[in-house]
Amino acid sequence: MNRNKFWFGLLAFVLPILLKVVWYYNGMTTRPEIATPDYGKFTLPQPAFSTPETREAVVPTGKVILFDAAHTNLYDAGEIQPLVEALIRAGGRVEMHDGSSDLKTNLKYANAFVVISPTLAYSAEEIQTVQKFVHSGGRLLVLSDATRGTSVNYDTGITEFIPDVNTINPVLAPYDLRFNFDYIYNIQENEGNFRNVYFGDFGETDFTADLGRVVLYGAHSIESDSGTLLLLGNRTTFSSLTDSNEGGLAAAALSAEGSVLAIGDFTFLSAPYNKVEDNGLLVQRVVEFLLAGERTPGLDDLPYLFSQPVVSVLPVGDAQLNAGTIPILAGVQSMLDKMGKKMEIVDETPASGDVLVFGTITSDEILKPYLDEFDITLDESAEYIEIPGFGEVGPSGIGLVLFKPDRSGNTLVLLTDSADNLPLLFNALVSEFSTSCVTSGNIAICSTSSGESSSEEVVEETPVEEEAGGEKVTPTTTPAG
Amino acid sequence: MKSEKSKALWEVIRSWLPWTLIPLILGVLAAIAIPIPKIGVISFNDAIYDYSSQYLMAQIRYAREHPEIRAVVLKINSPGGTVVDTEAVYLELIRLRQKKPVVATVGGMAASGGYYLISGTDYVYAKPTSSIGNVGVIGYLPPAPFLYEEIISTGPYKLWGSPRDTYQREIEAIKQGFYQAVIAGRGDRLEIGPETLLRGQIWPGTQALELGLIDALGSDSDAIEKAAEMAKVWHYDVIDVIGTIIETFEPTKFYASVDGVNLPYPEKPGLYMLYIPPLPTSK
Repeated sequence: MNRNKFWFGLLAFVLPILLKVVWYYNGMTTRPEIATPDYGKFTLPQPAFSTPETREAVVPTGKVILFDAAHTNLYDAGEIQPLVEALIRAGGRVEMHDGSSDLKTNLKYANAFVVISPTLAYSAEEIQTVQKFVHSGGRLLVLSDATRGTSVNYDTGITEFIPDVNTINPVLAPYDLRFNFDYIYNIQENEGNFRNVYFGDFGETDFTADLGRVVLYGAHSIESDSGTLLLLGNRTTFSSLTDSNEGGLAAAALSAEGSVLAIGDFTFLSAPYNKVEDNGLLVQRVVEFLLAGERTPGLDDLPYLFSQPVVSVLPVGDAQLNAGTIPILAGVQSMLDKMGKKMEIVDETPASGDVLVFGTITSDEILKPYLDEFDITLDESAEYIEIPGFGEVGPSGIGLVLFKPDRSGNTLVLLTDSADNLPLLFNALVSEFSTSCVTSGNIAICSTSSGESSSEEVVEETPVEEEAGGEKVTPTTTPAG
Repeated sequence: MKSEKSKALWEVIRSWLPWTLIPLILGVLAAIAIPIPKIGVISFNDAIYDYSSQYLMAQIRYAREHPEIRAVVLKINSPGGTVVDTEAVYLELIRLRQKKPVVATVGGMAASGGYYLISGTDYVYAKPTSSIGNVGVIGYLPPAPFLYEEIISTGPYKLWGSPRDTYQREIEAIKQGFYQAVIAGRGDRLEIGPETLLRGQIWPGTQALELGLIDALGSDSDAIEKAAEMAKVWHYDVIDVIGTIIETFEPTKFYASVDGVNLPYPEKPGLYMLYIPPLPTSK
């Protein structure tokens, strides 16, 4: 009996609890095991440094590589230091074009021109100058960078936006090369970050020979119909323009004739990225490309016509070493000094090397072979000279400039009708070539006439006086003599 | 005779009464003492940084430690925030989820670190135009190390923390952690691979559903019902967990500069799991 009471009592106790539980719950829950990331296993991706650095004795090549710094270029000197060092190690000489003199003047003596991320537009004249430079055998390297040209103004919250491709593409247009206003990325296979893109496929050129894998850090893609695409993205390399790799993507290209190289990034030139994977070899290839420029100078490049370290100076005709010619030679020596060259006075035709021949137009035996080179005939009566491209020219008051480029050495011949006019011809060449001389190919005739030559013009300043009408009398130019 | 019967009945009742009434009263009292199951609602409408994460974690801890809260609904509207605070909240959320179901419901946005958090819940609701995704890390590079004349230190990175290059690689490792968190949370429900997810794109709720970033489009009420279903409760009360928190935290600035100006980006340099809307450009 008491047992029944116990069970009944227990039921009475449990029932309300049970009713409440059943009212509120419809079952028991069991929680599954919750997976979480294994944070301890994540490591920082590290780049492979595989490029050996070569240290060889520097043998100067005399080649000048001109870096553009006159177009608000978005790079610091430190960023291109590895390239500059590599160029110097390879015997090149690096100079900056800072805009203090015009581009045309600076390119006269350069073998290669390097443009990095400019934001100030090039004038039509500058683009033509570069074109002429490339046409004469100079090398043009154009480097863009997708990380340049934008900056946040933290005071205004405005993003300043000056993409370098807008400035660069007009320079590249004559060579059928153009950068896209994008950046290349690879989310799946990259060097530490999606914008650090590996390139393992290459266009077949000497430039890319032996390259295994290189990395570019925030690169624009580049297009060319006639040129060779050099660094090619793989199937997971995308352009930010389309988020796809339709048609294939490239980050570097060489123009069809091989003298213009365009690369969509220049971070790979900077330490430590210049040593990641095969980037060191890529930098070396860039150096080789720049130093391979063999320019054929023309009279437009005056006075930068010599390529050898020593220039032989050969007086001919009536030109002798005397009080009249020494100032000329001093001027020549000073000019060559500035170019890093030495002068050597010789009395007979050297077998090879750069030669500067100067003197008077005579039937000199030493002079004859030089005149023959240009098919120039002296009239026996000395009344006229037969010059190809000019016809018969009276020698009086005339300076004759002949230039012959050659692999073994360049030859410049300067002749006048009399030794007295030689200084006038030198003056015309150095400072007034474009206004005093007429050119036809590598022959120029210049006016050295004391009566008419602009080189001897003397400006006589008429005293400024107030005229009755109040107008000022401007200085007038009157010929000297 | 009748009186004897009544007397006998009374005797029976008297002998049974202590065995029925008292246990019944005790049972009713015990039933009353059993708390009504609750669905705890944690609302979060902010970036994730030290101050906001402390409040959020306090709510999560409260929900975990109180057995009457049978399931939790995380109502979120956040662009994300600092890496470390996001990870801290995520780990607290995982501990809660080990004990109780957690259902997320997205308001305007669950981007970057905000999505990091909801990827660690059991079920995710969003509105058709909620902004979902932005998986990835963003940060400012520190300056290249240099020497100050007037500041001395005992090592090259004592002042700068780490080399610029290391900093850049660090965000790649953090990104991997983010991706693994999404994979761990979403599992087979995720319909896209890393090549799409890690682009950092933001998708509207409708597309996020197609891509498996969320589980359903629905209201906050749907989320509460789902949480109750997962906790297997028929009837329940809904409580705002924030109302139960008595801890206080010192407010700190996240978007505002030291002089109080509101900025569109964090004032302090560092690494973030944060969606920063594009700044206006000058052209």
